Amino acid sequence: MKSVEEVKKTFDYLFSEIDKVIVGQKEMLHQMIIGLFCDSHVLLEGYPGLAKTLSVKTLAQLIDLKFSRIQNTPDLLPSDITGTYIIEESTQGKRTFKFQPGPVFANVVLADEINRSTPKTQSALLEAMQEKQVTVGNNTFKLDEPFFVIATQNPIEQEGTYPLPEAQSDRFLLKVKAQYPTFDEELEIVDRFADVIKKPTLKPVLNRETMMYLQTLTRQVPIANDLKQYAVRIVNTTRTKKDLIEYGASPRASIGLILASKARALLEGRKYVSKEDINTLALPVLRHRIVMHFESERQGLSEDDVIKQLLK
Amino acid sequence: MKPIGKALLELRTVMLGIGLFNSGIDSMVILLFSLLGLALFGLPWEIALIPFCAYFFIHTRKMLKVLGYSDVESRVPQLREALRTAADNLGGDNEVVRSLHDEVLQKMRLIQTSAFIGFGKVTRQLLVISLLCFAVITVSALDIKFVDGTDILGKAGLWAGGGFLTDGDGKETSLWGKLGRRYEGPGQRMEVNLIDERDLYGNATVIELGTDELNLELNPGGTGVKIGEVKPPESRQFSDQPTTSDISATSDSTYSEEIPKEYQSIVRNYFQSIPK
Repeated sequence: MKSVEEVKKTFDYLFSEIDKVIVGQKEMLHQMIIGLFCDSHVLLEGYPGLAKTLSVKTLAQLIDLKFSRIQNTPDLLPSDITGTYIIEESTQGKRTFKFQPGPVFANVVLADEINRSTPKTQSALLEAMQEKQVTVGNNTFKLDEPFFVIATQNPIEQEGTYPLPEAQSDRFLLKVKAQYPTFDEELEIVDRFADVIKKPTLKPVLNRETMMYLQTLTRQVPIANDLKQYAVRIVNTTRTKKDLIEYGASPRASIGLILASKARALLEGRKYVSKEDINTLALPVLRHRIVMHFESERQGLSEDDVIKQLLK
Repeated sequence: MKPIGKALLELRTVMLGIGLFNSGIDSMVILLFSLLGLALFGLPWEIALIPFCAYFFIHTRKMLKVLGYSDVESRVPQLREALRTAADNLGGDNEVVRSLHDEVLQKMRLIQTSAFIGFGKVTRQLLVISLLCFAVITVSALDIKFVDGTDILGKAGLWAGGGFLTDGDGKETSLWGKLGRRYEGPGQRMEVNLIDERDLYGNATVIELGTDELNLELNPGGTGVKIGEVKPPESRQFSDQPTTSDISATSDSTYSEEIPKEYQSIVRNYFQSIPK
């Protein structure tokens, strides 16, 4: 891949490949790739049956990265994620402890229903997300790069769940909402999956090196000073709008918003960030980073409604 | 300097020129409007320079604020957000920034000076300027005035005439309003519009020069001839008969009778001596 124009062509092809498996959910897929470009993580929220898991698996297959899946349950232990030492007996009968890496040792990790695991287990994963390393016992293990976690959670069925604390959800660059398909899309889903299922053959479009190069390229995308100020002003307003937001977003949100906007620009084949990138990504970047004021909740406003008010 | 830096500098220079041109045209309209108004109200034309300068200053300042890369982008959509990003990242040196600079440099060819000049607006302005020029000339030539503003203001005490001369006693004498400056001695050139001063021989126009020399220069434009009142030359009839060449005086008997006898011979001799 030699130029920004080629990035667009490549990703157009990638999306055409995804279309063979997934119907619709374009925005969700775009934002997942943005998270990947930014070398960060994405929290997917949506009702069951909206192709969240399938999307992640398809993406991992197309990017030719090592994929693993963690199905979070209340009895899941941190060691189930990070890995643990097991006793291994040699041919001479000598017993030694050998580290057995957990599912976190992959490039793309799908943490399904993350809010179902206990806070302790969640912390183990979130530490790996932040530090990109895992400490088991006295040993620290570096995680493979790129390391990308896509966690999913269900907005309903809150019983027996452990919602992610704000401080921890802040580590996800984007909170992406999976939307219901349109009527036509749903019709196509029915046609595609209710008949005899033909498993499409997917060829990897990108490899690990290309992905790393794209992550470097993302940070190189320039942004105009006034747009940089605009992005920071949006995040800053979340802290000053006390009538709507009780706790605003951290500076990590400003970094995330600009970085995500750069990634979107690259994905669109642009060499500069536009205001539209910032406006589009303000919702997924900020929606999980603000704590709503009681008054705005009483008015029935959602996080998205409040952020849209800030963007006006 | 990088080629993109040079191109951006050139763009800014051109935009500055366009801004000044637009300000100049707008200010000219204001100047002519003011001149027309002042002429109609019989006020000195110099007052028109005040709104002209004020408008030019304010307009230029406003134009310079508005005329930025965003303005160029709004007129050339192909450069939308790219131009200012390139300008803000002139010092950047990486693959994407270099590529952006090349792209912007290519697209800058699409910028046309005509995009910044509203030809419709300029045409309308030029038309207004022409009409105003014509109106100002007509009003001045025909000496059309609604009121004599200088006179009214002078009487109301709001217009002190603008200039003063000091007489021999150190007392200030008001000169004509249009003089507008102090007499400072010989050699000074002073312009006086004699047409507007009806009391030329009145006290207001008397200047104590003492032994100083006063150089008066009549404004060729201010001849006082009112074009509308010029009549064709009248033809006059003169007598064809030549005038008397021989003139003599004789005494009159009636006249002589009233003269005392002792003086009659003297008077007669006097009249007889006249033809000689």
